[in-house]
Parts: sequence; structure tokens; C-alpha cells
Amino acid sequence: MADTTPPEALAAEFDCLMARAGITVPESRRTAVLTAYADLRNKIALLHGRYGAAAEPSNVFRLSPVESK
Amino acid sequence: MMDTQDLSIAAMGQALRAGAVTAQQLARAALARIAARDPGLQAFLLVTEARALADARRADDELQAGRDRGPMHGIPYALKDIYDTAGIRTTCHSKLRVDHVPQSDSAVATKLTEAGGVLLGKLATHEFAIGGPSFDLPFPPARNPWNPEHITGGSSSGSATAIAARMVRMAMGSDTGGSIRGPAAWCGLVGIKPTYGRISRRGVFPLSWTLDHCGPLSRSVEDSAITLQVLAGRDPEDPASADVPVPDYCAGLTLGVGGLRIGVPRAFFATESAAIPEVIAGIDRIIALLREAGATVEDVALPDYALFAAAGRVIMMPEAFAIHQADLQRRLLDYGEISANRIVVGAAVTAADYINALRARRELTDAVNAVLRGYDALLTVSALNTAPRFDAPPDTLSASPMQTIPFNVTGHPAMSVPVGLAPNGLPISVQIVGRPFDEAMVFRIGSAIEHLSGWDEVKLPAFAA
Repeated sequence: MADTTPPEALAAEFDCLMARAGITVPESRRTAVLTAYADLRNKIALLHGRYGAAAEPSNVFRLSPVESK
Repeated sequence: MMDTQDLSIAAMGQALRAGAVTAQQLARAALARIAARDPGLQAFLLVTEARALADARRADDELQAGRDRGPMHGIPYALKDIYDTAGIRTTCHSKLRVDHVPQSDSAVATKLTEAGGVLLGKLATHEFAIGGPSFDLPFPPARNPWNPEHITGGSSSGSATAIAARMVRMAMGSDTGGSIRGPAAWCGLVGIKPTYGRISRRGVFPLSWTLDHCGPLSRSVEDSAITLQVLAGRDPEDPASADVPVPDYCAGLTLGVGGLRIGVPRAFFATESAAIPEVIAGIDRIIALLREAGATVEDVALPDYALFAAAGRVIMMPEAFAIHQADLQRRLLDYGEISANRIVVGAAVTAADYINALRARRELTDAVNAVLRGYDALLTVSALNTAPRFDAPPDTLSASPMQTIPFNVTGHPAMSVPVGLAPNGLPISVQIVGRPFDEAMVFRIGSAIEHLSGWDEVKLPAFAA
């Protein structure tokens, strides 16, 4: 499923996220970065809503006993 | 002295032990080829001539004294410039690290030194293994020896160039979404991304911790098998390093494919509009040859390729951003434009997005493992096309012509093997994917394909003759 966020909303959201991350994107690069962001949003949309609560992420870990010295 | 430029690693070893050549002669010949060929191809960021000659002298002295360190003893090699080398500049092809001199070796550099290898130098990469090919970096991009107007693919660009131009037989690369297998495919080389955790990543500048793999590019499957034999094994200082026994990778190289079962996830490439007919014809020819040689080859179903690609990208970008955030905040304009534009979007991935990608990783890994329970390996294409021109480079993140990232997501071993030349004179390749830690089977099938396809008879670029 493709992301359907309108371009203006996408740009505003992107500006907010960059500000939060402390990143200043030069105006000359803004169009290219926004295009990359829109593409990434489409990738994210493919994964959204796909999994229920029982689907655990791959980084769930297990511990081994620690032996005393 | 004998002509050594086309000798395999094994053949160089035999010649060394027979006294037909010395390690110093091998090193000087390689250095001469680099001096003659590299100016137009730009594979090397740094040629470590003094180090190479010292390594070679030591190798000769030890062999004379009866100390034999094994199959890499006296063999020239080179490293992608993201592998730390003690006392030798390691730049990541970036202005940000142009003067960086590590104090210690990466685990791979240590192992190759201990194995008696001869370090020729440090090789071009896409900046931080993600941004390229670029002309706004401190060093120019490496060019494809098959046609220097074409790109090599990335990010292990210099590694591929140096081998395809016959400067060196083996060079190390790294692979986060296809950065070993892609350049290998577009430059007519063998490139293996071993199982995640098989080779230590310690001392290699990270792009994305959970997707990064180290591995060799080489002229032949046997070269790669010999190299992995030296490098595989547990490293307690790499948190991802696996504690799994290392078999003899060369033992099965001549066994052929009779009786093996090979699955083909045809939907991965057959429905892609970017796939050129020569690539489809190339893999279909290999499937027919494998069947003639006694293998059972059947189409298999895996989850949609788009899901693998999405999981890979959504994992990679925030991990890369976390690594680069502080530098991007302070000195974004010191990055090349491609790198910066790609990495900053990682800031926009939420924690829930990242976790969904990790849930997908579990689902996809289970799905590939389920198919591999019924097959010895999978066969697919490495790239959908041949190497593009510099003036028409692909966007390797949003619309990558590579078919490599699924196995960074799942961690399975995967190797690109060249199978022929397209009418434009550029190489086409296939990709073999094995069960976790079964690189030996990947090498066995790869060696068979290498011979069945007739790649042994293909002449390397004429300018390098």
C-alpha cells in the first residue's frame, strides 16, 4: 500500500522531523531529500499494520546464565 | 619471471612453494600493474608499496626458513578503505575522515596479516559505503574496467575495479544491501556475502550494524573459498560473531551438482520491468545447464520482493542515521551530496517503523528458512541489468537494480557468480543463496556454475591484457 500523504503535508512533516533531529538541510538539496523521504514513506507503509501483538521483532533476545568466577 | 597476473591464489601458492616465483616478485608485479592501470580506473586511494614489499620479504624469509602460514602466504590483496589498518590512513572515501589513521587493525586485516598476506593498499568505496558514485568527494570514483564510462556498482567499487583490471586477485569488500555482490555482478567477478556473523566486522566502519557483512571479491570461486577459510570464525569482540564450526570450504568445489535440489524464486526477477532480457536468458541458461548436470531445479515461492526491500531500507536508514547524526548536525556539507541526502532521511523513521521492519525480518527469515528445508540452495539473479553509465546512474536505494538486499535482511550466505557477457560487452551474473552457515554448498554450486557457464573462457577487458 503506497503512502497517500499529500506533498505539502509530507514536506511539513519532514521539516518538523529534521528540526527535531537537529539537521539543517540546505535549500539546494531539499527537493532531492524530500523525494528520498517520500520513497522511504512508501517503504514504511508496506510494513504498517501488517503485524499483530504476537509478532515479535527479530531483536528480541535471550540471556545465558552467568557463571561466577 | 613467469606472467603471474592470471594465476589463481592456489596457483600462486604452488608457484611460491615450488620456488618458481617469490612473494617479492608477486608483489612487485602487482605494484607495476597498479602503476600502469590505476590512473585511468581509480581503484586505489592509497598504494602501500613499502608495506607490501615488507610483507612479501617476510613471506619469502619465512618460507625459506620452513614456516608456511597456509594458502594466503605471500599472496597480494587489498582492502576497501573502511577496514581499519594500524598506522595506515583509512578514509571511508570521505572528507570527514580524510586524515584518519587508526591505531589498530580491523579483525580481517589482522587475520590476513597472520595468514601471510601481502597488503597492496586501500581501495575506493562509495562514501561511508552508501554515497556514490560521486564526484564531490576527496577522491574520484572507481571506474568499470569492462568500460570505464560505466560504473562499477557499489559500494565496494575499488575492490571490483582492482580485480577486474587484474591488479590483484582478491580484495575485501563489505555488503549491507549488496555492496559486495553488486560490484561483483557488474564487473564479472565472484563476490560472497557470508552468513551474518561468519566474518568479524570489528574495525570496519559500520553503515548499519544489523545488515553489515564482510566478505571477499575475487576472480574465481576457489579464490573466495580460500579467503573465507582464513577469515571465518568466532571473534568475541564482535557482538554479532557466530560460534559455529568452520568446515573445509574447498573440499566440495569439484563435486558438481548431481543430486542437489535448487529452488528459484522466479517472481523476484521475472516480474520486474527493469530486468533486461539478457539477464533473464542468462539465468534460464544456467538453470538448463544445472539440470543437465543432474540437479533438480524448481521454481519456489517467497514473500514479495518489495517486502524484503522495505524491511532492509527501514532497518538500514535509522541505523545509519544513528551512526552519523552528530556529524550531520555539525558538518552536513562536508559529506558528499548523495551520502548526506540518503542518510538524513533516516531521522524520519519512527521507533514503531523500525520495529515493524524487525518484525518483518523475523517473518522473512523464517520464510526463507522454510523453503531451504526442501532445497540445498536458492538461485536468483544478482542484478536486473548490466552496469549503467556514469551519466545515468541508478538510485540504488529507491529503485535498485540489485536483487541482493533480501539476504542482508535474513543473513543467509549469498554469492554472485558471473555467467556471461551481454551484447553490450558487460557481464551478467547469477546469485546463489545457501542455508545459514552453509557457505560450502554455495561454493560447490558456484564452482559448478563457473565451469558450466563457460565463464572460465571469457577474456577479461582487453586493455588489461
